[in-house]
Amino acid sequence: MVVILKQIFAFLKVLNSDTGENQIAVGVACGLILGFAPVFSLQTLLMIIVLFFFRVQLGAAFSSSFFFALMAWMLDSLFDKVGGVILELDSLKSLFTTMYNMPIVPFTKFYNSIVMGAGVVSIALAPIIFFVSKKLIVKYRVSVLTKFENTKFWKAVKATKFYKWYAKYDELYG
Amino acid sequence: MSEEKKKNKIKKKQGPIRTGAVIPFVVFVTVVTLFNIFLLDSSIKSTIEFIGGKVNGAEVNVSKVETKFLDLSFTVHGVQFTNKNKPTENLFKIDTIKFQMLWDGVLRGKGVIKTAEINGILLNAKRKRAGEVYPEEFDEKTGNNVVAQKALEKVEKEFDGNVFGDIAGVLAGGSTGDVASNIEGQLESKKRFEKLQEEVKVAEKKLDADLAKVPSSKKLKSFEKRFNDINWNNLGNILKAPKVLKKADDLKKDIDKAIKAVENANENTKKSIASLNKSYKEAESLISKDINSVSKRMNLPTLDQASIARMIFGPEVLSKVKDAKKYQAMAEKYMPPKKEKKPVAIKTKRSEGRDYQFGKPNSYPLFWLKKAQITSENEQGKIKGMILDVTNDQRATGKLTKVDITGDFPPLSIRDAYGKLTIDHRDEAIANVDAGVGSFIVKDKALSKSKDVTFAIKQSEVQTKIKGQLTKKRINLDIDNRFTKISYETKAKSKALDEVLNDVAKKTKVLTLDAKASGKWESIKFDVRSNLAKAIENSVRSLVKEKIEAAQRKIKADIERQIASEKAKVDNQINKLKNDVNKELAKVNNEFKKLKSKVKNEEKKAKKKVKKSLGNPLKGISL
Repeated sequence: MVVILKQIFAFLKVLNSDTGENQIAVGVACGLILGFAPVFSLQTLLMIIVLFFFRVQLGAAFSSSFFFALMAWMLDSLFDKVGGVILELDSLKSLFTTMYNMPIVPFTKFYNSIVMGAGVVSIALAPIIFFVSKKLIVKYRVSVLTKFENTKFWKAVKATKFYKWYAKYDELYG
Repeated sequence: MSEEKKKNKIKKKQGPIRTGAVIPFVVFVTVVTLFNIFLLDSSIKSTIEFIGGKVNGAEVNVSKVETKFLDLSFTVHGVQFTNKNKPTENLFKIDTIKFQMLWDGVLRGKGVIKTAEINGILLNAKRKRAGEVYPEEFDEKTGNNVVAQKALEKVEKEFDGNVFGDIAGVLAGGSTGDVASNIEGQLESKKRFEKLQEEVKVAEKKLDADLAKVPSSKKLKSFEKRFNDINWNNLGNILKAPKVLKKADDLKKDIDKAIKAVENANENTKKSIASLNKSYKEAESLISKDINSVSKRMNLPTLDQASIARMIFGPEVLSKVKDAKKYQAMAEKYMPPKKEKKPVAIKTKRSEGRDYQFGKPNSYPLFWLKKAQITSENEQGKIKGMILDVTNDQRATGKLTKVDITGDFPPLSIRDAYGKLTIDHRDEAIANVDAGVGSFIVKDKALSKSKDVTFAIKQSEVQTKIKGQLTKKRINLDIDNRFTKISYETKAKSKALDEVLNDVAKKTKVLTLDAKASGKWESIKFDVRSNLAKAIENSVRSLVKEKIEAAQRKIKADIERQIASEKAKVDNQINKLKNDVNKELAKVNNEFKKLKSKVKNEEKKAKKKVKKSLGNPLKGISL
């Protein structure tokens, strides 16, 4: 429970910060791929390298991957069906045979129905998730955040010494 | 102004690459690269020295290792294997070994060596300093090897002996002296006879119990009385017949019980007597074993060829078998035969899905030396050969490990050497070996050495062949040697023995040694044959036969005297038991016989009486 709350708070903090919506949206899309992929796999390693090398919002990526992983667990039977259909396609058989006998590639476990299904679904959904989350972030910041910041309650909180001390602390140590 | 600049600096737009992550990555790559440049070579060198030392049982040195990362090759220079029996010399020295690895394997975390070239081999070269010899590691934890080791140690004791030393002892008259001290408390036959006395007592008790169940004379007479009391004439009367039949039936049941008890007693007596006779024979056979054992303790020489051959050449054959076992155990350790494992489902949080197979996965074993080409030609001679498919997992490669090497070293007088080895560890560990040397020189080989006698080969040319199969459980090894151009060294304090030795040397210009080790590792049978043994037997027989036989007669007489009282006791016990039991049974059987004939007579009479109406009323109670 603590882990879930921590992820939720971290995500909210990112949403409420000045971080660009593109970075957050890419983070969420990457989180989708990361969450759907098996924990110990080559694709997970590649995604983590990508996250570290490119300026993708890490908090968004990891917190969203946590929620997508939960979702993936519930969607396993769907992934199994999708993966099974893809792996049984005659037109792709020679490609899969080549990949199966290539070095490194088998470490992705692409030949497993759930891994293949989850992989294909996550890659297909990643752009959609990117645009949807970007739109939602903008909308959230305009409608929810701005409105909230203009409330008397928030203005009163902001006027307190404690908040000023916290804001300074946050500015200095993040 | 400066505040503004600061703000601008903070708000400056950042690029898509996270530079903060690049630095640790670069550091990591640099460390790995530096390790490869400065430490990889020395690490490989140390690994070869360590593993080589383990395999060789003595120090292995490597001068230099050169690795080339781009073409994934490495060259090992100056590999020296110390001769553990002569640490000042190398067993062999190899100038260069070049390994060409496969990227494909490395990317899978496997060591796959496509080709290896072994060049410049020098045998028995002097070392700059003596190499370290490591303690023997016969081991290898597996029960089978421990059992084999113990069995071989036992055989070693059996081969212990000194033919000519013992003969010299007999000639000097010293060995046949004190028989009593060698007999005292060590006779297995005596112990067996003592034990047999207890066995007879147990058998006696058991038979007594069986005899107690046998019907007494009184009981048998009561049967007779009951039989006579039955009014058989009433069988003709339809009203009285059932009562008669009931009585007859009851009598029949009681008689059947009595018969069964007698039969049991007869059967058990037979079994017990047979068992005691067997034990008695066993005890008697131990007498001859005791005679042999005492003869050995008293160093009384044996004059049969097989024993002589075993005594002279047994230790040498045994050392070869021990070496074979050592290398077989080593091969088993580093190239373990794999057992088919059943796939085990691993529980994960997410469901497992289905794994599809697209042909046979192109998997590599952890280590695979595909081909090693050996070529060497130098001042010592030539070596040529091939080593194929050395791997830690033959199931993965599906190929057998094969070694085929030939060599010729005229300056070292080692000619036409060859070795063929096939190792099949796909399932059970099986190794087939076929090796030999056309000729090599043997010097100062002692065949028998003691303070009184020396019989040795000063120099000889030898042709040797070893052929066989070794498995985890069994060995089947043939070793054939042929010694020619022999120059013997003979020396004996006794003039007579000296003449014998010279005679043996004269008669065996060509010495043959054919040995066979076969069977399970825990009970290997050694068959050692040599024409030298025959020559010794023939030459020595006339000289010491009389004395040996006299000594053996004395030993036999002394042993028999020692066990005489125990043996007599057992004889008496068994005879008494046989007599008593047989007497008792004979008596009972006799009385039964009488009863039977009486019943038969009565039966005949009754039959005549009731023939017309009831057929045969006594049917079913006849004895």
